[in-house]
Amino acid sequence: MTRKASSVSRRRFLKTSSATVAAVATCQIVPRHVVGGAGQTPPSETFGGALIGVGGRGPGTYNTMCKGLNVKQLALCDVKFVGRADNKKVYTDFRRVLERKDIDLIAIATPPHWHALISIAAAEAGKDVLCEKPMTRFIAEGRAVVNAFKRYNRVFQIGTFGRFGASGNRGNITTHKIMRSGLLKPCEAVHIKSGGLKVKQWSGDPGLLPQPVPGSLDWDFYCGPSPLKPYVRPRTGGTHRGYWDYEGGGLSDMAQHHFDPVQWTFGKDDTSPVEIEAHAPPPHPECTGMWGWVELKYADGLTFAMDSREWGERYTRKKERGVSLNDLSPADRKKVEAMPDPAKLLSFAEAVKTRGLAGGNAEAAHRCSTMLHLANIAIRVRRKIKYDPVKEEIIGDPEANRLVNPPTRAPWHL
Amino acid sequence: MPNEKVVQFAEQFRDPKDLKRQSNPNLKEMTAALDGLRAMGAEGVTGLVALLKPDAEGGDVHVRHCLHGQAMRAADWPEKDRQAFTKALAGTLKEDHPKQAKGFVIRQLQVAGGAEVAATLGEWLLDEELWEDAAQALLAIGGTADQFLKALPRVKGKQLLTVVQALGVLKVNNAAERILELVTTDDADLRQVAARALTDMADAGAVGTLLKAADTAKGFERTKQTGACLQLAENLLALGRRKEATRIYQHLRDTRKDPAEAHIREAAGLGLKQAG
Repeated sequence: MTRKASSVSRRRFLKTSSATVAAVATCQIVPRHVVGGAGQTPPSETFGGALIGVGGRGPGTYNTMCKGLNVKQLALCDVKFVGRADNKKVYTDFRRVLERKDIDLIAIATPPHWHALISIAAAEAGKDVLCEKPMTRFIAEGRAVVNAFKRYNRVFQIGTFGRFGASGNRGNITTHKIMRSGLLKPCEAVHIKSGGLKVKQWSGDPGLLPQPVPGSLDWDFYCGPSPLKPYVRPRTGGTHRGYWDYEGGGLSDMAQHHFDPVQWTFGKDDTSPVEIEAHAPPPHPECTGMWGWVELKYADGLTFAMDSREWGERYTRKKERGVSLNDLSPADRKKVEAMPDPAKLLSFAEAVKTRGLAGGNAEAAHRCSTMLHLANIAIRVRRKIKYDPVKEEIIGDPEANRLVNPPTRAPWHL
Repeated sequence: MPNEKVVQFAEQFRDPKDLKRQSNPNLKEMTAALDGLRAMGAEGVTGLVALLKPDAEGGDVHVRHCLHGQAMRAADWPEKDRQAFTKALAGTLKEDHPKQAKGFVIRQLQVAGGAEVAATLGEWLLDEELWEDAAQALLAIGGTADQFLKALPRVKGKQLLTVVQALGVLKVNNAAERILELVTTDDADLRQVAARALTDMADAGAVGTLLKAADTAKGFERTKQTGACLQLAENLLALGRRKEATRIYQHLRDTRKDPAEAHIREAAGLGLKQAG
């Protein structure tokens, strides 16, 4: 989609959304917890919905959340609504949205530094969540989201859906079963993502002088858990992707799209790489920048690599290689062939209705995000790192480990 | 007068093509510059800091890039070399530099600093502009409870929020008594931060106060305070404090009757099962 087309669509969305919100406010939506029994599915199948973060991916994320469900939009929330908010339909503070009992579903499309905190707060308030990717800004956020959604038995789905198609492919299903069988030792498979990671496009602009904060924007709230820095326009509005305070550049953004289905195919939804190495120049303190390649190796030997094709040397350490039943002994091959196919992944709508686990659930999304965060940490520290996927810590490198769980600005806290 | 040798090294971090997008960093020249600066010792550090400018003035992008690049490398140096670097960096905080330059220096200490700079950073917890930078650096370094304990009686407002939250993150249980008083303060943010700090500390003595705070709070605060109680129960259970955890779970299971809080009741019920 072109930038122009996206912008038009967003304006249309907001216009129709505001009208919808106004219309809905005149009739009562009975919240599902009032009419629903076990599992809280209401007879009317009508859900109250809210969008938090209306710019950029907001409309798309909200519409995706509604797919297969009858959702009435009751609230729009954004920190750029200062002067427009009535705290009935339009909000600047997500906390006011979450305390509404008639809202069941939350679409989150803020910049990523808010994803975890809003997701957790939504789960605490009993809501189900569809959250735009990338899931988080740093690794510890993901674990906190997983714990919250488990604790409250809420539905979480990440806003990337390639795994739904990938998991229906016969070849991928075979690979998935081989990998999940644990019979392939060592695994020599290599998957390389070459190009398409928008490295330069989504690197930041470090040379700008502070600018006046627009009157419509609550800048302190925008920064939230991240450090309060002087306002410059590119820190907002999509170009936020180029600042470490909010995201991790094109790598953490685009690579979640690419690696989410690959992670499913190779059966790594419940673990993380153990060795990560990158080729990159010294990092800028504020802005994401250029890098050449990253190599991530799992405990069983499986290797994922990213080749930016935008700077430095190309990735030549290993060649792409898949896995097949021929890699197994005849006896092991029979064992894999006897394995049942993995269960069909539940869409967000199916998970909401059945109270099941969504295909892009919090744990799977967290593991994919972790992979990308580890890649970015290796790019920043420019040395090989070793990671413990159980403790979720970098081993033997306390300074690198500081990037796994950086402090947040009070009062925001995981 | 700027140190010319340092100026030349820092110049290697200017992007020759396009400053806006760091399109073509020259790895060989950058690496040579960082090696050269390292060989200069403390003079290389102080020389770079002297080139930092206030945010509103700008023009020091390459200097910041260079200093940060060195801080990232220093973290991996032999301990003696790393400490020499961070001590030289911390020493510049006592010199006459722009406040925002000092903020940048503190953020580099967050990257590479250790216990050797904790006392210096602790002094900045009381600064009206840089307390947040100092707090984040101290939290990243870890083992810095003393700095926050010293600051606790001397700060208020947002600084107090930051210090209380930090004491929770660092699990400084001997601050619990003071923090417990803050759970009933007039400031809603402070009430929630205080409750969460006690939760992080797994303070068994806070169970009654936190349950009462959750019961009486309204709206979003009720949600967060209830969440803090459930988290406290999990933390206590992890420490083997089954009795206190059970008390929390039973209370929440028995008191959350509103259909909108059914998920709390269910979470408490599940917790009770796990508590045995």
